[in-house]
Amino acid sequence: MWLGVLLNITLLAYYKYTDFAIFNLNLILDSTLPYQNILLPIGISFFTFQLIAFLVDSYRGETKDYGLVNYLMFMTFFPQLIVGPIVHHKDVVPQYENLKQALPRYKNIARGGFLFAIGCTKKLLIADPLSNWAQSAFDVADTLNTLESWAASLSYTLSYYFDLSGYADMAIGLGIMFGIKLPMNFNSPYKARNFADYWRRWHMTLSKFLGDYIFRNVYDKTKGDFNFYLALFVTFFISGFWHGAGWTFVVWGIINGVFVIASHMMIKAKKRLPFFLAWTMTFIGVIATRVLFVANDFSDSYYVLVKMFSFSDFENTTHLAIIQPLYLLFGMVLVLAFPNSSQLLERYKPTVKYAGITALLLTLSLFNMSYVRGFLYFQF
Amino acid sequence: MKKYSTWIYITAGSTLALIILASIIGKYFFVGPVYNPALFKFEDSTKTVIIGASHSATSMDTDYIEGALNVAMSGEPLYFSYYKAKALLKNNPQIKDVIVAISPIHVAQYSDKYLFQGNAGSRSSAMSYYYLIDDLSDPLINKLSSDNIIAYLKFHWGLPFNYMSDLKVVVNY
Repeated sequence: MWLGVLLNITLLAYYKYTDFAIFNLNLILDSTLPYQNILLPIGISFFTFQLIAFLVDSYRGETKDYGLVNYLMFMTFFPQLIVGPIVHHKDVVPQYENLKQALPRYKNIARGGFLFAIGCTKKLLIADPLSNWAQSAFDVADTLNTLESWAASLSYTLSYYFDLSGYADMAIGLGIMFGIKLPMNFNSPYKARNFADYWRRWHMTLSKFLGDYIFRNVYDKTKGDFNFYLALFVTFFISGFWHGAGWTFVVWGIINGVFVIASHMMIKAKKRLPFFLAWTMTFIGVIATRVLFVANDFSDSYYVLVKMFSFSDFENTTHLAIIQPLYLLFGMVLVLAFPNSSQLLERYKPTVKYAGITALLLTLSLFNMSYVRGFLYFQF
Repeated sequence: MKKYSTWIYITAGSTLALIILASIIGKYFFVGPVYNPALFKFEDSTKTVIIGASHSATSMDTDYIEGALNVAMSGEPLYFSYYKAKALLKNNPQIKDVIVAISPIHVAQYSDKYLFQGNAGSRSSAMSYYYLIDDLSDPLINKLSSDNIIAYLKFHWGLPFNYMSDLKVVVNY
């Protein structure tokens, strides 16, 4: 088993972390080793996770009933292969067993199509413009004023959610069309009242994987609170490292880990802030940590964060699109006041109203389909 | 199950109807009036136009060339500059001289290969300049590329691709 796990991790390390290793070697040894610029296979972080989980569980004897066809299906089911949801074999392989469920059914196609339309809208109509604005602002991060820094960071925070959850909706929608129920990946994360709550709602399949295969291997119930917090810290450290080959991602993981530990400490101490205060602090924390994700380096992150929280520089606002504030307001209303995609799917009925909404969403998505931007998680 | 099959047909039909409606609106009220080479009319005093990419855009000062207008755009492929010049000359018979600054990169094989590649850069060029092409049999057009198909559907059939970006142009953003 360890040989298999090592082989998978070696491949991931080679493709994803070679240049990161060279960067660090150059830094430590003061050398000029050339970067390899290795092309990253799309979704390698995702299918490597699935493979490792499968290997570990096979070693534990939990997959002995699976046939080769089901294994291949598990590893190549295209809707979720490249950006998740990260699927555990227990979630889907039993579904492959009953092939009758996988046959096309009108009900599945209708429900899946409705969810797919929601995902398209999130990605093409909301995430892409916000992402464009955020990226173009962060390209000149060291020139932004306070207002621009907040607008760019909030734009990225919202676009990140709509991008990822939009893809998840499309993947889950396609899965439903094929008769395969994929796990939910986002549960209104920006409604969270603390960081522990946020991470239970954000990229839930990744959290589950890290919980099952990292946290549980470090955590020992008999060793008390310190071990619990240490396990959380290690899990988030690895999560940061997984998210990107750069120290900004590692620091992002560490800060998230610290925030989650602080949340658990407050919960254990039975200290509860008023909801609005707790939500505001959490959301500002999410926005601030996202700066590390999008900024090119620590220097840019530091500059933007200082500008954001100094509330001192409001002159010469040029990196703010005319309709960007409207978009941001619209995005905030959607994430805070509207039901999420899973809730919308539960409310779905095959009525004319839903047919009209679906048709409108698909057509509006087509309106913005010319400049196809990659999904933000394609880089992972 | 019948209600679901009916729902699928209604949704598909409505989507198609909306796309057709948007295409008609797009063709006659948006693509036609906005992406129209016939609108390229300059004042009679304009006798010289400067076209091309950044080399032309940034190195030719019209203050020093009498009756000149610089319409070069940074990053503009020379291929599209040719069609741009054609449209300008057709609609402005008063133009006597066309100036274009060319560097090796503009005429390298790389530049032709860059056209209709289906990547973000070539898509951007296609969506900005495709309507200027008056000869679709041009061998440099990769007929089966997504750039060509999307641009053709948009500029000839009015399909509503890229409205969001176009709207930004229209509202001068």
